[in-house]
Amino acid sequence: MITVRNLSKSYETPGETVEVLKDLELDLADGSTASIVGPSGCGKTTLLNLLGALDKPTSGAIEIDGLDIARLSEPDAAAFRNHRLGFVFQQHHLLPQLNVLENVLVPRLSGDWEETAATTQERATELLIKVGLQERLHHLPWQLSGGEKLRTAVARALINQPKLILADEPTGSLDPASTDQVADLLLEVNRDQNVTLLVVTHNHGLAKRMEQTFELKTGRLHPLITDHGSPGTPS
Amino acid sequence: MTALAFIRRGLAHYRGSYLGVLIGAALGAMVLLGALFAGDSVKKTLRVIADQRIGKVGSVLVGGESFVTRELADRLEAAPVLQLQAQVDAGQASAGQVDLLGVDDRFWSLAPVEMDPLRLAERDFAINAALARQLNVDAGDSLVLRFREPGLLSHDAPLSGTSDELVSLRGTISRIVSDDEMGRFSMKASQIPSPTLFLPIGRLADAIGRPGKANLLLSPVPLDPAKLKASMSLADYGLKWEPIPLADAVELRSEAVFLPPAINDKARKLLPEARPVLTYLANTIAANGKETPYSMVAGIDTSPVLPADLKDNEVVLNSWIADDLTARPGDEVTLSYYVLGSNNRLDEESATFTVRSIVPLEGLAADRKWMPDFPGIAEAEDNADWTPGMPLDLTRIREEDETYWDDHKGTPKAFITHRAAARLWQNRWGSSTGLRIGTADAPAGKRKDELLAALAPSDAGLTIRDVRAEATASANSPVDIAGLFLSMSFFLIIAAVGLTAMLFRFNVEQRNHESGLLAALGIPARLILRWRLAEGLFVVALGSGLGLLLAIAYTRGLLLFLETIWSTGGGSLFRFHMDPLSVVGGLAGFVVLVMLTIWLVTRRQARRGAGIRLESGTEEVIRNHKTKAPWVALASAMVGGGALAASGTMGPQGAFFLAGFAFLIAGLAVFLWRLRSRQLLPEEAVNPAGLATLNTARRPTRSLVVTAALATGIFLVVSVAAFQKHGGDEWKDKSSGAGGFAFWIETTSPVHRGSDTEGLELQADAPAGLLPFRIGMGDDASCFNLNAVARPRLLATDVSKLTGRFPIKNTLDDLPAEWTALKGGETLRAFVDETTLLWVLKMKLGDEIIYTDDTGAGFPVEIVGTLAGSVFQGSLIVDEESYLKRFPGSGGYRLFLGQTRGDLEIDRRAYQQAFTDLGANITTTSERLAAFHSVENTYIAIFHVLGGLGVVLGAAGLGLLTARNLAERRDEFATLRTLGIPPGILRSVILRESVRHIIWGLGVGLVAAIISILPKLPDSGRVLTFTWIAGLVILIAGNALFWAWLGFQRSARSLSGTSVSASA
Repeated sequence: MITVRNLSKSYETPGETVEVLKDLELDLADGSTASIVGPSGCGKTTLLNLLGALDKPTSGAIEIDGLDIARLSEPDAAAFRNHRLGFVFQQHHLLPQLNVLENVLVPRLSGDWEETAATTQERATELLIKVGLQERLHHLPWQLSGGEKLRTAVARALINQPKLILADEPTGSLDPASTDQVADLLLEVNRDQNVTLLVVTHNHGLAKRMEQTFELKTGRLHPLITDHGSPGTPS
Repeated sequence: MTALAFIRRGLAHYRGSYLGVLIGAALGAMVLLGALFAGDSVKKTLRVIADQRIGKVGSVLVGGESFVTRELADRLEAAPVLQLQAQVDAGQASAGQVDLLGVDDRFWSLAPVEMDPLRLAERDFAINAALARQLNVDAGDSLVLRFREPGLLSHDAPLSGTSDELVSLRGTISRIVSDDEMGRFSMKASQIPSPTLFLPIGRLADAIGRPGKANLLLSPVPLDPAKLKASMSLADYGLKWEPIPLADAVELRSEAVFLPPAINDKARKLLPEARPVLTYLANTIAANGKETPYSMVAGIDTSPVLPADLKDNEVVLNSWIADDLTARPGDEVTLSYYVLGSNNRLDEESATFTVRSIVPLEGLAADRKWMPDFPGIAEAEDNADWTPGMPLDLTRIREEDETYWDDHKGTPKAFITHRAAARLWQNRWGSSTGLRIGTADAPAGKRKDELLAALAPSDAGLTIRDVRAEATASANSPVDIAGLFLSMSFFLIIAAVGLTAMLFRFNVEQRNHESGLLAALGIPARLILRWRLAEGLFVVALGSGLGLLLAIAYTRGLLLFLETIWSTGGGSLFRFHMDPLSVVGGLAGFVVLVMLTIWLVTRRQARRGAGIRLESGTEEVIRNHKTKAPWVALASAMVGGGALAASGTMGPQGAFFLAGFAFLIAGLAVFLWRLRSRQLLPEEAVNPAGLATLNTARRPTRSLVVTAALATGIFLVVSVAAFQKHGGDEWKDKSSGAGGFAFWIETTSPVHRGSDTEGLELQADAPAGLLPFRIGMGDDASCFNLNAVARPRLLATDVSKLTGRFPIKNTLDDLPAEWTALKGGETLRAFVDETTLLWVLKMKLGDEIIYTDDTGAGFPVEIVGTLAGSVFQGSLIVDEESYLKRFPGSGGYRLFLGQTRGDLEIDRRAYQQAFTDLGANITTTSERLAAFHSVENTYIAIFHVLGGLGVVLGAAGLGLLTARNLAERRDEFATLRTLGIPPGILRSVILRESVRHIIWGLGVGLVAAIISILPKLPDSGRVLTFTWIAGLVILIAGNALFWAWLGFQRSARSLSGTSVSASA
């Protein structure tokens, strides 16, 4: 369960204060899917960074599974991301020095995972097979196509068996066919593992495939009617 | 995947960008370790040389001008050595100041290594490698030695015999003795081997008329003073009991003619019934208008010859001279005689006595034994054969005088009281020529032993030197080579560390996305930083390891360079040595230094949020914040101004250097301030200059680092360049370091009289005379001696003759800044060159150094003044009169400062001619000063090489910065190209950015440097200095531009053809 209350975020610039988010509210149920759309610069990535504990809000509360992540210390925030969150970025951010399998295993480097390395590696392999990269396990990122890189990034986001996946423009650099495949993959993960999925995107096709869609405008979320017929709640 | 594997992958993947880090670390480690190894090598070399110098010798009994019997060596289980100085001729080549060592088999057993004794045949010589090199001779070649026979008493003394006869010995070289075979034996603390010749002690002792004698006893174990005293015989004190049959007495006499005062006093105390005798030569005894030349006069206490109540102003004549002078009781008789004056000249004085009585020339009054064995007199057949070491007018000697000599030899013609004689003729060697005691009272048995027990070896000038401890102490060089090179390499090391850290930071920035991603994936920031540092540690450690290997070669190069200062040629002086502590400590220290720097420059980057890093790409993210630069600039300028204002109290050079450094910081702070406050102005933005200005300000930290490196480099190199010393004709000035003297003349054999010096002046046609110096105990403490010198060499002269000469820099507060300050005082006062005081002795004015006088007693020499940049570097200058009170046995002058009539070459030849028999080494004072300057100039040259490398590194940093900036601005340039901006304009923008760094760097550095060298500007060498500075500036600017161009070329190639779409 994600509950966001009165969330505000502003930046100081020479001469003025820019308010990016203002008293934003959001509720997402466990296992739900949602998308956020909006024009460039409206604060989508800022919101995602706040939800992912990568940044601190100016005010307000973000509660994920009962944990107020806005008040976490940096080490606790890191642990939260490492164990309970999956990130998928537009640029994929695969590490060029590691092969596909190793890239998926990167979160384990935090060193405080209880399961054995072999277990994690087994699951990483399964995830990569699941995303269709069984032939690419030992390839380096530069040897992959854009879609393969994204699938690798998705597998990496799942390696810690997260309860929430935050995806920032995951299909920004993909063609329509690849975009559909990625959407299928993310929704499959959502279904199979009951993972909450929040996608920030410009792609209305992808956005519509989520159960709820919000538009971020003037620092607040506004629910949009989707093909699924249910508006996002509340704004 | 483990963290280790992750680190390994990072290292492999980013090996290209880590290459620069590796090279920077290797360079820095090489320089730092090289400095430490150079220090280790010098220390090791000095220790090895110290061991070679003394071999297995533990302590030495030093006789100086006294001689002991070789039996004493037997009793002490020591090796007897007879040490003299000689000139050695080998046909075409000759060498002066050669140590002549008469030795026997025992000497060779003290070699550092086990060796068979050198069995030198009667006419065999062995020489060390230094002498062989100097003379260019080998085994089988013939040599001729020439040296002055040491006198029975100091040739300084009156009646010491002639002093200008040379002993010559011819022989064949049978062996060149290596350093490990005692070839380097010397008690002088110096890394330069003394040229040494070895010959059988028996031959040398016979040649000087001292059979069975030695003046050094070398013991492998510390000599026990008690055992030494117990082993001493009267002969070892140079004493004997001379039977006086006519007086039914014996007389205690010394080989040195005059009984040493300490011995005289102790013997008289032990034998109160003994009567002192002082017999002396009167040049003239005159009365009644008549005179008798060259007669002995005896001063005695009670004797049957004399009336019991003889007064001090009365004389008793023998009948022969009474007849000769027709003198009668009551007549006045005048005695004329020589006494020692200043400069050891013999001045004739006279005294008048009243004739008390006439004694017949018979019995005790006719006893020849009144006269001791005056050298040059006692053994003479005729009066005309006398060589007493005093000026004689042989034409005055009459037939009757010769007859008297034939019949009565040195029988005194007149007798006075001992007290009167002592008043007239006592000198620093003694006041008695014998102590006479009746046979019945003569010490025998137990009393003989009591006399020996009362005497101490030091009474005869014998001292024990713990040469082992001295050698160990001397190996601790006052020149901290490691510290010296570390300080001279400081800028280079900092530049290397800075470059390494900058390149590492580039790597970190290049991996901003990676760091951001890792943070987003929940890897704690501390872990990410730790991994980055682990990669850095690996690369830096690897680079340092490489630096260790390079340091070995680099150190060898440094040592070769150092040999130009401290070696005299012929074989390498320094032994390469790495102390394990230096290796471990140096490596660890360097790695820690680099890692600390890396940590400092990366930790802020690591602290940034993951989101920021993910967004920032490879660029450094600069947040706007208030700069403290103006305050730093103001504070630094105030410090600089304060230093200038306080130059009077701080000393101009230190104050101006501090001021220069403060203005350097101020200038750099102003530069940073301008960068931080740079605003985009519309009119600037549309031309290359405006773009360049904005781009320079875009990454202020990077711009500051490069500009600071250039500014600091030029500040250090230029400000140190101003300290170069130049020669020229300054020696002609009396107030210069040469005191207006043109020549520095050191001789193998001494000159004993001022009158002899005048003879030399006449021979050399010297215009304003030679100023003679006595060379006392101690070692050369100049910058040419790497060894620690506890007691610098004493140079004693009549300081009143130095008035107005030499630059006296400081004296103790209560003393005038004049040479006369050396006169008086309870301690022996000395002036010393300030270089020696500061860097070798590491002392200050008012400090005292303990020397040992002729009696073996310690006494302080107080340093009361300093000379600035004088030819006396390495010595203490003391007043001769005060010196002779401590060293009455001092034997003559062996150093002379000579003037010139104008043509140095002609005068040098004239001096060489005049000093031929003395084995003189003649150099000009300007050569001597230039040699001292060359040491400092060599240091400066090393600093310039190392500092120059630092500047090159700083400039290389500019090149890397240019390349890096271009790489990071691919999009910007691609956009400009897409917009049709010609490449020439782009190049102009980039060039202007680099030139801006260079101009600021050189400008700030140069202004600061010129402030720091202001006090040096009036120096005579300023033209050369400014030419040198201008050359340096052009070189540095050109070098910086070259690197910037290189960086531009490297990046421009990869940028060519870049378009917006390609880079996006």
